[in-house]
Amino acid sequence: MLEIKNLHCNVENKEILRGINLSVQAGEVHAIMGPNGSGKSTLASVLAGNEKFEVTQGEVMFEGMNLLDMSIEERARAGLFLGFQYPVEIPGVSMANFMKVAVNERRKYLGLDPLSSTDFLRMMREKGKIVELDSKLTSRAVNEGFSGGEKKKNEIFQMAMLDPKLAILDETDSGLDIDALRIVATGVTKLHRPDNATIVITHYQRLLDYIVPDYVHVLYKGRIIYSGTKELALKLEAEGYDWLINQYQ
Amino acid sequence: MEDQNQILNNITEQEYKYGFVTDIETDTIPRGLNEEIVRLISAKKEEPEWMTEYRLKAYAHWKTLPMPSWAHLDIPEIDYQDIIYYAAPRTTPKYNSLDEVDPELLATFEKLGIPLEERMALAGVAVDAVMDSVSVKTTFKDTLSELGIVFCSMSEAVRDYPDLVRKYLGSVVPYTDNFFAALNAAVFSDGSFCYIPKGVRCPMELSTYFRINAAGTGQFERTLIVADEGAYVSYLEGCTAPRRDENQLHAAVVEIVVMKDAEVKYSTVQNWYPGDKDGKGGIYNFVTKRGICRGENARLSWTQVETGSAITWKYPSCILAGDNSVGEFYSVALTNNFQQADTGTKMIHLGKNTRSRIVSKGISAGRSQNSYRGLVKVGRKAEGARNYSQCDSLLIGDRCGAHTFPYLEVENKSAVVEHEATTSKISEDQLFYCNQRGLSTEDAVALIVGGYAREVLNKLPMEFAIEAQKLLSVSLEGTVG
Amino acid sequence: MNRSVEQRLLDLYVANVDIVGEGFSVGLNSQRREYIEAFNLAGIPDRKDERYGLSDLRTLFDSREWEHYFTPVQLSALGGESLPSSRYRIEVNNGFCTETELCRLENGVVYGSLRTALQEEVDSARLHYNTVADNKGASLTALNSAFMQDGSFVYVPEGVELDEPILVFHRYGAGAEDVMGFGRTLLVFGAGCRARVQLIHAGDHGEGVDDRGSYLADYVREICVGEGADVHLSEVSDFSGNCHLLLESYVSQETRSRCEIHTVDLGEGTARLDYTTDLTGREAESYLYGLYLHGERERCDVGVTVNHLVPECRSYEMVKGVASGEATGSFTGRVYVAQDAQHTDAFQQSRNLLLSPEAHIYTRPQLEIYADDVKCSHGATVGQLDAEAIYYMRQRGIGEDEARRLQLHGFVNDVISHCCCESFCDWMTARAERKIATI
Repeated sequence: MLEIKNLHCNVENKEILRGINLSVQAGEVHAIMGPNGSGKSTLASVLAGNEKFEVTQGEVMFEGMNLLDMSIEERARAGLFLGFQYPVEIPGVSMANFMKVAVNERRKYLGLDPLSSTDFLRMMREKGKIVELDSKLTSRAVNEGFSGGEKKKNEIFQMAMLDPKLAILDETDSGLDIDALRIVATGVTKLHRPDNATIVITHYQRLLDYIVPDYVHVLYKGRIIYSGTKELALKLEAEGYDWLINQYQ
Repeated sequence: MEDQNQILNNITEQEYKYGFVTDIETDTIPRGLNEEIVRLISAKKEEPEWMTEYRLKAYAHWKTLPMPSWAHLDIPEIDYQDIIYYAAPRTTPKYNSLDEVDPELLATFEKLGIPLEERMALAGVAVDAVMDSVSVKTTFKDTLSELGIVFCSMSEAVRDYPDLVRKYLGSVVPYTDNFFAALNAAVFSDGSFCYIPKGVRCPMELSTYFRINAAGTGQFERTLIVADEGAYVSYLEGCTAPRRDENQLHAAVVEIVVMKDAEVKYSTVQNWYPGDKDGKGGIYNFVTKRGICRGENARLSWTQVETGSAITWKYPSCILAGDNSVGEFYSVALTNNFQQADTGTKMIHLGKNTRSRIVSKGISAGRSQNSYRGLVKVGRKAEGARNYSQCDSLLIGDRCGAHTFPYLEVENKSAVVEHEATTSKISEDQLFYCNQRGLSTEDAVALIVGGYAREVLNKLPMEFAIEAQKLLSVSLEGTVG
Repeated sequence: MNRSVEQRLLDLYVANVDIVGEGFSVGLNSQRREYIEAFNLAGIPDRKDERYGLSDLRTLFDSREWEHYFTPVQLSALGGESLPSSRYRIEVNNGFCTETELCRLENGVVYGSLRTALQEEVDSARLHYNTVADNKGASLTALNSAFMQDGSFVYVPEGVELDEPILVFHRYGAGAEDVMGFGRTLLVFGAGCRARVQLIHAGDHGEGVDDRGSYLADYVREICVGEGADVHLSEVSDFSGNCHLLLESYVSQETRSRCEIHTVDLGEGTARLDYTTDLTGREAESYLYGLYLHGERERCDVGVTVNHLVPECRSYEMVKGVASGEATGSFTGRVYVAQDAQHTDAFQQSRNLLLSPEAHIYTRPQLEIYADDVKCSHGATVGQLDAEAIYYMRQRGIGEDEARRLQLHGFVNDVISHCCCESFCDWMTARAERKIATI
């Protein structure tokens, strides 16, 4: 599904990613961990196509397409979803209107007709249940006045609405209390199917209690320095990153 | 409530503390202004031909201008022919040691709490003290000259550094700029000149204290500061004037040139005589202050604490021409009794990624009128310009006025400009809270006003911040009845 | 063109004094002379004028040899435009009401031609005409008062609740020449009444508009809001590029009254929209939501003045502007709090988006406060669309243009969505959407 080869990228002429290689197949869950500043969020942003980041080398294939040639919205329509670490507030734009345009763009890509308003509202209600999203929130402006937890739930709600092939969740657990964490993580698990895949970027092992990864990768100074299975996350939680970093150096 | 009103009355009826007259003989010229007077001033100062010509051109231009009337000020008719445009202390104007200085003059400074003597050495401040118009004494000149820093009176600069003066004088505030700038260019008596060479950080705060002393004389200061590439200087200006019943005109010009990577901080504490509690007397302070950030990464910061003058008309401004240059304006303006102030700034963004910040805190008491007036202009080529302005007004008593007149002019689509303003009074809750903790209402008011002005006072160099804080509480002081 | 604009207008007045005053009372006509003199004294405001400076009206007046007609003209209907439906409706062409008869409803509501109302000596018209706009020292208002021949009039009596909005439809158009006209509206709301009014200013969108001359409208509106009355006005100006609308709106509010105004300018020409509200009774509340959307070389200047003359009133203004193309937008706001107008609660905000390198935004929100126990604040921002929000929307599969459109829609939405009735909102939204698509 996703094939990253030797990916390098710069931000303001500083190299942040220095040769990432990663392969993700349908049905898999990958976790990417690593100390602060290792490039985890950068990787997510580059895959989403954020124009602040300049790819200097390497290639990324997504569902047989050259991802790096695609615009931000083309990637999204093709089924790449990024759950933002800091979801953006868009005053005056209602959640319903926003989601309707987004869902219909995705449907258009898939060769489906736009949803009728009734069907769309029904879909909003159903998908909202997955993350126990207060139905009042969907009548408000996008993320405006949402609490930290509501914003993150809203990200997973949108993921449910758009039904992506590949979801990249950037620190979706940050700033959540235990209950919200459980709801968000359970939501992600419910959405997991054999024909889609998830990349979870996180600092903490606790998220992985809910979203059980098939692979855990450790990112350090812009490279994946170690890959393992879910046990690796437990070891990292207990022992930190130093032993790996020492080994790498 | 009764108590409170009493205190407010006390505060608003507070009279000027520094009202006394120093008895020093002065050398004056006839009243009035004409070409002859301009030539006479120039001749008295033994100026070169080009300087005289400059003054005459400015005078010719001034004659064509009307007095500006757009400010929110009620300015009585000024008879420009009834002013004495030049006064110099008659004592020999050059001293080698403090012993030669007129003891009465020194005593005056003492009364004002100006630490001219050894205390200054300890504080590390060089003072170019100006009594009326001619520079009386300059200290620390030697230390500064070792670094190549020029810090002297404008008269000396015209004589000793004519090339520098000719290059920069009028380059930021041309005599055509406005009525008062033209007047100043024609008749300026003296002032300070400061040049910091390339790459030099001035190791001490430079400061000048101004006073107006001779009765019925106008004071026309001219200050020019040039910070060459990579240089840094912090410049302090402070003034207290003795009481007069006659209104006195003060029309100063300050020009600042900041080159690439250089930084200038200019701080002012202004405490000219504000007039008595009936609005009689007081200084008219019509000042043009402007700096230009000429090169990349240049920084210019204005900080002012304005408590004096009957009428203040003053807009210290920054022209941000160099890319990435930064302009700042921090102001506390306190008006009391019948004082009027129309003050603020102009931030002119011309270069790319230029940034400016405006913090203005107005405090009005008594029957005073206090206006903030500020322009933020972003030119067509100022890609990525940013400005943030915060203008707050505090009203003490129900007979004063607080006004805010911001002007935002944006001609570049990548600019972000924000302005916010609020108006408030000292809340009864705040006073009650302080009273409950044992503070007198008077102390509470001083405390609250101090807190309100804190953000600006913090921008002042330490010794000045203390003086400014003192000045604010003195201006608000009263005896509890 | 050697004579000044003021002199030409004075000459025009003197030459036509009989036609202008025909049928009006002696008292009203005798005031006209004073107004034309007041106009001459003040003159057309030029760039040096604090309040009007940004508009440069003198250049506009000087730009053409404006003709003025003292009789109604026939204007073609809006080309294929649908208007919001309305039961109560007044149509005004170039300042003249198309119906001369007044409509009188059973509940006492009167609406129709201002000329008829004044000439038939309808009390509510006679007693309130020129009471709110007078003494403002505004020269364009004085000029209008001198030349006023007709316009629209609405009276809602005490305690009446008007079930549906009254629509006042102003159409402006010129023939081959460049034409100047004077429109006037007087709205009188009795104590405790509730009413909604919709005002539309539209250009003559008929055939051959391109060959036509320009139209300059000097339009003055007075609104008297009685004690405890609740009034909601929605106003749209949407006209072709050859129209110039100079609007001066005056509101006077009595005790515990509430007046809310929504104004949206989508016009292709030049608009100067000036709103003045006097809060003359305690606990009166005034709300103003403004929006202008401009591209090309369009221009809109919005002026808002709120005078808190008595204690315990509240005012709120939010004016939003979008300038694209080579458009210029400006805002001049003033909140005045008189001495002793304690417990005033005033808020004024000017928010602007600058979308192109050739567009300009000027904003001057001003506070003038003479009372201490008040809560007053204002703010102004000039910025762009939020790049982060665009990125966020694109990540959800929304195209870049659509993302911009959505965000612009979000920016303007809160002004439009609160206007006085749903059908009018929809109508306004559709027109705003169409305008957004062009900028």
